[in-house]
Amino acid sequence: MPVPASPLRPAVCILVLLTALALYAMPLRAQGSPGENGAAQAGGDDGLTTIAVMGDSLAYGIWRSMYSQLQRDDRFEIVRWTEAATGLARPDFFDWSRSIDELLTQHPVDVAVMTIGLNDMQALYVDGARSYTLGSGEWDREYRARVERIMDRLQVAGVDLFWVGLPIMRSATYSANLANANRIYAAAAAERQVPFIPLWDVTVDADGTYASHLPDRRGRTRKMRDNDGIHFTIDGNNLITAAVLEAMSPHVPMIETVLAGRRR
Amino acid sequence: MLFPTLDFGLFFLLVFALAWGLKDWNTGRKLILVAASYAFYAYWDWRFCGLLLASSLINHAAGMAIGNSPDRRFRKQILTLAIAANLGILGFFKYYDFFILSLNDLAFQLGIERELPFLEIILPVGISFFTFQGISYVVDVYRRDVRPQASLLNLLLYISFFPQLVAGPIVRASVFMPQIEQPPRADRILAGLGLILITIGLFKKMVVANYLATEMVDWIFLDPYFYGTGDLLLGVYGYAIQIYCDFSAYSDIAIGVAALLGFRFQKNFDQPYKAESLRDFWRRWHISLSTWLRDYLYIPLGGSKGGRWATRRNLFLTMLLGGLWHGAAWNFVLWGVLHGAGLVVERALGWTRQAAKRPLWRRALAGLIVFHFVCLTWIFFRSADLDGAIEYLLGFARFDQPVEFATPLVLSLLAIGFAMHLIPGDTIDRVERALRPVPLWLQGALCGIAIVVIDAMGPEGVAPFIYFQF
Repeated sequence: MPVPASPLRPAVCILVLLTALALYAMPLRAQGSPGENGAAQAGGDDGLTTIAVMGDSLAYGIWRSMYSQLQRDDRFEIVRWTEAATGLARPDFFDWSRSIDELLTQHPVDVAVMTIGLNDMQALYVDGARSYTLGSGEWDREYRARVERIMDRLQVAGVDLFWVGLPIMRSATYSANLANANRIYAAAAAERQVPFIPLWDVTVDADGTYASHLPDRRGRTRKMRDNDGIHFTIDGNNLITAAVLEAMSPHVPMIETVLAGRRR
Repeated sequence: MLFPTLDFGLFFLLVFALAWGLKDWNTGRKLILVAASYAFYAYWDWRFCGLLLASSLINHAAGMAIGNSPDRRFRKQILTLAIAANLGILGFFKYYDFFILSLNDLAFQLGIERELPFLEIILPVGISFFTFQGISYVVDVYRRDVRPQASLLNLLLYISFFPQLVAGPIVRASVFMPQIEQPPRADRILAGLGLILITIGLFKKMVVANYLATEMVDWIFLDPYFYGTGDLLLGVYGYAIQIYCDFSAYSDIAIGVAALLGFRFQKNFDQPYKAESLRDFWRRWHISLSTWLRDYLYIPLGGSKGGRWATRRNLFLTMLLGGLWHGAAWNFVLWGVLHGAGLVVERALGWTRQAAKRPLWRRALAGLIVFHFVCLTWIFFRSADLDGAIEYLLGFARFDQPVEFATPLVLSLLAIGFAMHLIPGDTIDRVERALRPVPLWLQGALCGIAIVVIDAMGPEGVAPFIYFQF
């Protein structure tokens, strides 16, 4: 059967476009996605508070809610420094300590709201090798050292840091491990006078257990948790972000004025 | 298990080897495919498998009862029961929360503060798709379009077949059953076509759809308040291309994977933004769903047999229910209403008649109008809620805002998306024919290289397909 010539023309066009796209895409990945920090503005403008929300997918939800609540206010710039599926357990996969240095150099911020740990309930790796088993005393010590490194880097850079604790999860085992991590964050934060914002009590029901549906701030029951029993719905993100903003308000006067306006 | 992952690659290699290894023992092949499909589904949540099995057992029993009974009344009763069971399962998982929420809100407005209890219901992925397949099977048996399947194994495979289990295409029993009754012949499989579809699908999803989403669309739809006319236009064009590349990619990969296993499914998308009328659009977009809605909703409602107004009502209702199927939210309802109303108006004005005989400029103009109408409906579809959609539409009046997203990357992706609609419709078939002289091992190797390149080009992370949520 003779081979038709015409299909090659679109194929060549697509190949050219593919090559062009590859050239665009590769340097972009090396620099990190602009979407990660596209909203960032340099801090330092009078009256402008630049808040970076940092961490994993839980932080992304908080950023999303905070962005929709505060970004329209000229006094705030809400920046996203989140990377899903990352944590402190696998620096060989994603090194938060190093990333923070790079991000701060590129975009100075006034305030950082950090939450991380969803993906850390596993062995800790050192130089790409499994080194500390979850549940062991060594794991706790090494994990705390990693948390402290992050806190120290942000404090040395002069950023006002708020560390947000982890919420309860549907899985009891997962929750128990996260509760242990919360104790580590809280202890490290207390030592450095970093405000620690617990989410546990905000995300449990009246019996103190996990619930997918909880009352919102008007007292109406809404679905707060995603189907995975880990992440939050839009209403759920608003619920935990409200707790975060409330806890931040004594330290960030501008937030207090916003909340006071809403209370009225 | 998502298609563009190493997990799926390894899973498929194993299934491929086992299925073809057992080609001379058809029952064994079917057993392997059923086991693989349930394993594929259990990867999300093993508890869903019980639901999949229950759906298959209900439809198998109903099909046998309908097919083996000469009593028309009894057959109709069983059909009604089977449809009610299918829709009951779908409705419970998909709409229970919305129903309770709406009742509670209504009660609150009436001064009743006591709330009805919510349940923690997890929507099983793909439930709509396998439910629709189940309904089509029992209706087709009732209509005597297909024979009832005495073999439970056949029906288990039909309902659960993993390539199209979670996001379609919706395959009819009349297409599927003959293909499993006979073992496939290795010399007749469309391996080349399968490899081309998989490669194109991965490119559309991992490069075009994912970049458009992360570089532009997600930002603009997150808060349209910050953007002006130019960016909002780019945003909706971007979403139009993103959802096409995302959804059609799933179908391409599903059809390609099925082809490698010896199955032949019809295409689910046919250059939809080339449509010159809304009716034409729905013949090109998600074809398996629109034909399903036609055969199992529009026609049972009366189709076009009841006169002009009844036809318009049926069209409108079909699209409204199609909108509601996507989710219990007002923006999906409006999306369906707009499409339904558009189809009614178009029909009333006779725009669909003799479209092919119009001069080229009129056809191009019609295409532009239809595309922009579809884009308008996408704003409702993509926005988080109705307020967000209205905010988006109001933003089109902000002419003074600078355009931020017209980057070379975004414009190239849009150009690729539109170019997919301008090339001849049979390009893939022609490329497949052109590649036939190339040995299959070399085609496989080229496909492998292409996948590695695509993986390197796409943004990091694997975003789920948009239609998994429906």
